[in-house]
Amino acid sequence: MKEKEIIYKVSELNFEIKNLLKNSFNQVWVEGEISGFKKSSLNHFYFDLKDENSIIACVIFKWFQNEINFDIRDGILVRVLAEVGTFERQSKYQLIIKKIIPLSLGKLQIEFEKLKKKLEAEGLFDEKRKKPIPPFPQNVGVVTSLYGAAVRDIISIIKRRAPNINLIIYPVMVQGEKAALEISNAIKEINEKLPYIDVLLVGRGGGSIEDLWAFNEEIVARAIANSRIPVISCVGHQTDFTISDFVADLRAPTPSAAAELVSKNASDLIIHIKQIEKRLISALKIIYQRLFQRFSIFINSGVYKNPLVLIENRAMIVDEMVEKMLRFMDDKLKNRENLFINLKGRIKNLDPKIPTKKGYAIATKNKKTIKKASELKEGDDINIIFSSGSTDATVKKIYTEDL
Amino acid sequence: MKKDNSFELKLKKLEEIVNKLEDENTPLEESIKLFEEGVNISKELNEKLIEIKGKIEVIKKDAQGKINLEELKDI
Repeated sequence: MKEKEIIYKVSELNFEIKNLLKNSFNQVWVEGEISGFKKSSLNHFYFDLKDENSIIACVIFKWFQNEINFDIRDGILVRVLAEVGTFERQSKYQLIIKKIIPLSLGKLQIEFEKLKKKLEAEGLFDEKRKKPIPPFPQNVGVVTSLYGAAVRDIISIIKRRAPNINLIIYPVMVQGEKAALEISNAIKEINEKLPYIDVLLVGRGGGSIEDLWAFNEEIVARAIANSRIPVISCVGHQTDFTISDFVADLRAPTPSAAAELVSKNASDLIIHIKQIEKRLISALKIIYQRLFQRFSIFINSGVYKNPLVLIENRAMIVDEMVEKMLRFMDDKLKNRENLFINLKGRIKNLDPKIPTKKGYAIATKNKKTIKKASELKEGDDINIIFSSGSTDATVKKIYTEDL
Repeated sequence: MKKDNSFELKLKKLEEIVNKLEDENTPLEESIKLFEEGVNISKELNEKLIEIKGKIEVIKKDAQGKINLEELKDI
């Protein structure tokens, strides 16, 4: 062994190879056909790219999958941008793909487009063919697997939102070779033997396009189209479109959404009734308040608090009347008194002796006041009254003329 | 509930009753009668909609291909 020769440890060599590959092929475009596509449990994609003679392992890590907008599956021709990486531990190399562009449609995609065109031409997707979904279905049929997430979601949503609905589940295989036949037979059989069913949910939970493929089969599409019972398709996720979706009377984006669709009205109705009940109760409270108001006006009234008020009121009225009467009498008496005083005054003024106080005298004959000289004859006896005292006199001469 | 007009009619009646109850001009004596009627109707509606529990049945086929419905009890 010469001194200059380098002796590597296995790991050292692998490390060197890794660097060599990485530096030489860190940005390469490669074209090939996809084969052996697999999704790992951590959602990284693994497959091979191949041509007529050769094959190379590939991986698309989860963080490079965002921009992929087509179904990666076996048989598709693609162009990829990748670096060549190695697993040092196993001395295997592979393409670590950063970008992938489809160059051809896969076999399944071609079939899908072909069937879609054919059925569309037959008018199977026409809006006017679509049957209305009954607003309050009582019996809801479900054609799906008994073991998938779909059936569990449907049951729990219906039970919660419209517990009065009867669910009739027709268990079928939803993937694999027999799936399409089982699904289409189930739809036919329900139509024939369980005609009381109001609406049919046909579908399954999410999966790859291969998993969902049964719902792209012509036999299933035709069974749905021929169903007398309205069909709601619910296959996979929001983004998955199948032939069944186009031909169904209504497409629900997921099985849960289908369950919500059939239970929505009943659920709304339950909520509506609950609200009316609340209003009913609060109306009762208001009626009670109104009653209480009436009652409290009564119990706060004087009569209720002090029944004597009834008598007191009357007593007061009597009192008042007596008072009025007395006042009336009083007034009358006062008037009389005034009248009397007035008369007294007037009588005073009538005293015949008043002029005598001013020096006049009053002459009388037979106690009658003499007003004119002509009333007298010579020799008559007269009496003359002064302011104090009087005298008798005899008439000597009469002068009828005034002085 | 399909073809069940009485349900819709009863619901409408219940709505009318509540509207009347909420109207202050409705005499008290009438209100109390209406309330009783309303409670009865809402009870009926509830019985129909909520208290009648739907069944969950699974279709099983026997050897002759005859369909049987088997109730799923514990889900």
